[in-house]
Amino acid sequence: MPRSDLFPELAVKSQSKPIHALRSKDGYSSSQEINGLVSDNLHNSSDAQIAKLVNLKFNSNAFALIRQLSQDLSAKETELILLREEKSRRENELLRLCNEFGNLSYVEVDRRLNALKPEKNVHKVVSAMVLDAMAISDSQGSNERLPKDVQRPKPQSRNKRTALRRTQQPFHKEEKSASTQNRKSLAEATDIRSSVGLPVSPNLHDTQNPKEEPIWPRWLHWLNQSEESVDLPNKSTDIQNKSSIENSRNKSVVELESMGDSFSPILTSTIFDADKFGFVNDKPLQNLKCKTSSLQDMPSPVESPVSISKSATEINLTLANVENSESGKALTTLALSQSLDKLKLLNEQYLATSEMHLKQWDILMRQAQTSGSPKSDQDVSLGTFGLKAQNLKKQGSSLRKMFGHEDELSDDSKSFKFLQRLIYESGIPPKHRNYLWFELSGAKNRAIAGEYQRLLANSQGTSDPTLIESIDQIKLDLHRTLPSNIYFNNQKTNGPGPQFAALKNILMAFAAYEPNIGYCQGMNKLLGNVMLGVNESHSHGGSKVSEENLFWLYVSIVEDILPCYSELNFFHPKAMMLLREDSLILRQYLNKLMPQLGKHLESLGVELELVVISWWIGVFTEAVSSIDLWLKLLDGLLIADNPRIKFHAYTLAAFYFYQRALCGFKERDSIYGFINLLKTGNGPNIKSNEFMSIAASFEKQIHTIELKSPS
Amino acid sequence: MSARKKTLLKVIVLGDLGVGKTSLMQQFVNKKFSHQYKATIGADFLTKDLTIDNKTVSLQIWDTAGQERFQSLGVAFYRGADCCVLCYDVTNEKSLNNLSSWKDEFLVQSNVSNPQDFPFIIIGNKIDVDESKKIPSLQKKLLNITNNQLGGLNYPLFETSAKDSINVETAFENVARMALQQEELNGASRNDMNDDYHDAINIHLENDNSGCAC
Repeated sequence: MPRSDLFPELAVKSQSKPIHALRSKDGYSSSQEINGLVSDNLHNSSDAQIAKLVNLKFNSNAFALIRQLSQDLSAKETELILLREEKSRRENELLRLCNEFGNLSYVEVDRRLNALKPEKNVHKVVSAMVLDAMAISDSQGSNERLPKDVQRPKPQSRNKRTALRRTQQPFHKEEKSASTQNRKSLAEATDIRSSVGLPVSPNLHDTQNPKEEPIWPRWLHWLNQSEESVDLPNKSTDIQNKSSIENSRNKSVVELESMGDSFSPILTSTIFDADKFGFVNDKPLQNLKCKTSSLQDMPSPVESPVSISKSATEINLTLANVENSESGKALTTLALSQSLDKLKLLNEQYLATSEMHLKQWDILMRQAQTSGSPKSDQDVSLGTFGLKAQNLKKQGSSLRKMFGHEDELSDDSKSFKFLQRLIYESGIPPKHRNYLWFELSGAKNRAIAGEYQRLLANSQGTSDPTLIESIDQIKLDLHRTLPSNIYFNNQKTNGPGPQFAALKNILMAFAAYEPNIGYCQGMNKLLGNVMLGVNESHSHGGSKVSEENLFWLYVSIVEDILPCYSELNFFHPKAMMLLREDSLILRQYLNKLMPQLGKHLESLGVELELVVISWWIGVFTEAVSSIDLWLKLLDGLLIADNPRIKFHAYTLAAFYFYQRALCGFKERDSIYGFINLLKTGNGPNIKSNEFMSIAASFEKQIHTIELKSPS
Repeated sequence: MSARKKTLLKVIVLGDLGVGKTSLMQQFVNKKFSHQYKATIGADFLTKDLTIDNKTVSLQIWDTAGQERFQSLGVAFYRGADCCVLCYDVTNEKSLNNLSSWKDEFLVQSNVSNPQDFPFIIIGNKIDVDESKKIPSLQKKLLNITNNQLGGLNYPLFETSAKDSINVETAFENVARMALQQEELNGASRNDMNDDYHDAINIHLENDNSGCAC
């Protein structure tokens, strides 16, 4: 059943005062006929009908009708906004929980929701809501209305703000006092959004466009992720099963919406808590983010590289089918409970897959740590994975590996390939991250005992003007590095956080280590993110990394992992021009692989190079919003055959996921607004496994293109 | 071009890192200040509509990263600029001394047709700080720099505080006005020449003149 039908009606129902009551208060008849005509279907009526309506019901006063319409609209919007507020609070809590507990099971989420609302049984509420919804769609069916009939004119954002102000109306008293804080932030977010030209409220927008991808609450995306990351063992999953998955999704939406009428104080108290990476959650409206491009709507420039994406596509297509048919009737309470079971099953499967990955990782790690690679002609102490560079070389050109000649690979290479596959599929699990980062980056080979202390001392008492300049610049940027993270910025005192000093020391020591490179803006964020990854790993049982080792890790990433341009280090001042040249090549790739987006950006005059260079200089910290995804990007870089091509592939993948949003903007300003939003970490959520597989597919295509080109 | 059409003005904000370019922009565009701005990597883009002398203009502002090494990227986005804002920090003498290098770099990379009259505006930020932290005898030094390094041209000078929202609005209204003038000038020259490549035509005219002089 189309959510667009469901949502406004539910919004009305979940409030204590229905629209009709408001109307009759104003002295107008609340007969069903008018209700239907005025609020829902008037735009489809003929002029004569409208004239008749005005004549009969509004004493020939068209202004009264207009007033009535606008009143209805604002009342509905008020309710929508309140609901959305409630929902965002809820989702924040869920988000926090998900972050905190990692793979939170559906059952756990359910239990928590129940705990928040002990007086009502969620299942009962859900069933009731579904039945209500079915009744609605039934009645619509009898009116023979097509889904598109329920599209409403898009309200102006000005109306929304007016509506916001109207939330002060007495009948919302109970929410008023408690949610002032949130409303303020809502208003702020609304302003920011409208100022950057984004759809102020994607949710609302979506309820009006049945064709668009339905918006699910963020935590449901979370569940989706678990569902889709499972490579379903039985591919024979029939349509009915899939539709029941969809039903269960819809059901869950109903569940969240339906709970909008109560307010839990627990939620507000947790809004400013830090997440697992130490970011202060000051964005209560993250759920109003722009949509991630979804796979099915795009002109697919790549063959979906894995069955995962395919199944996602299928599921989404099924959704479309279900929506277009008279599906409302197909939804039964039986299907509901089935789909709930299905969802639980999927979650279990996801957990099982994660477990399997973890086990594979454990086996691999044991191998790596015990075998120590004595077969290699390199130092035994390097370990299997410390040989990254050697291994890659041994495999000859990266292309050969790309197109797979496994029989030619040595045992070492095979285990490296296994590692590579695991990293692409699941990323390095936090508990192994510190060990593997240290090994794969080559930091272990680089580290020289005592050198770090010497460099640090050098940098502090230096008289070298270049070094002094670098250090001055570092000092200016330190407090502007991840300012919303508690590890670097004490949120209460606005002073240094516990890892501020390490950040400073490492950047300074690096400037002393490589005076030619010194400090480049972007390094600060790279190092900050690396430190967050190391923190997380340590808290998951990964090895503890001393400041000194962190320094060597950082050095290795900057010197050996990031791309070089004509032998110049990535951050070298003179590399900037070369970076720019490379960004011109990216434009060619974009035009070739995503021509629609390429043309769109070109027609709006977007300075693509600037966007791309900003992303590159920040090593993608400003291109993707989630640290989890960023860490996987770094994992991928560590085992990349050709980091320069990897950079291109990541960039293209990011554009791939933002394509839909970007193509939706008709002005250059809006495009830049969106890019800015990414920089503040407010961009769309992207599933990391999807990102990595899309990037891998682009990588292959780039290799093919480069192979063909004369150079 | 219809007079009612919104005029787009491109403004570039330059200056050393940490002088408060992003804060100035945020104060001007969004009327707020935060201690938590992040260091700008590459460049940010903001836009704001203003009414100048009954004319609606849309300021498109490029907020750039302050590190010298990013200057080489300028060529990618200085092009077509209508005004350039040079910023320094009233507590940081080096940022003051670097004004001329920012200006020169801009002129080199933007390739504007009228380097002598191209509108620059100079903003000294952070005047909210304690007097003792400010550059000693700032006015004298500033005068010295404008006279000796900035070609003695009378660029408008502003002292602002992005934090306390002092003078920011005024400064940027000025920016908009100057940019509008420059835009009209460019537009006029474009119309006269009926050609976008007015540089080439200028050379041609010069040749004609020299021909006459002979």
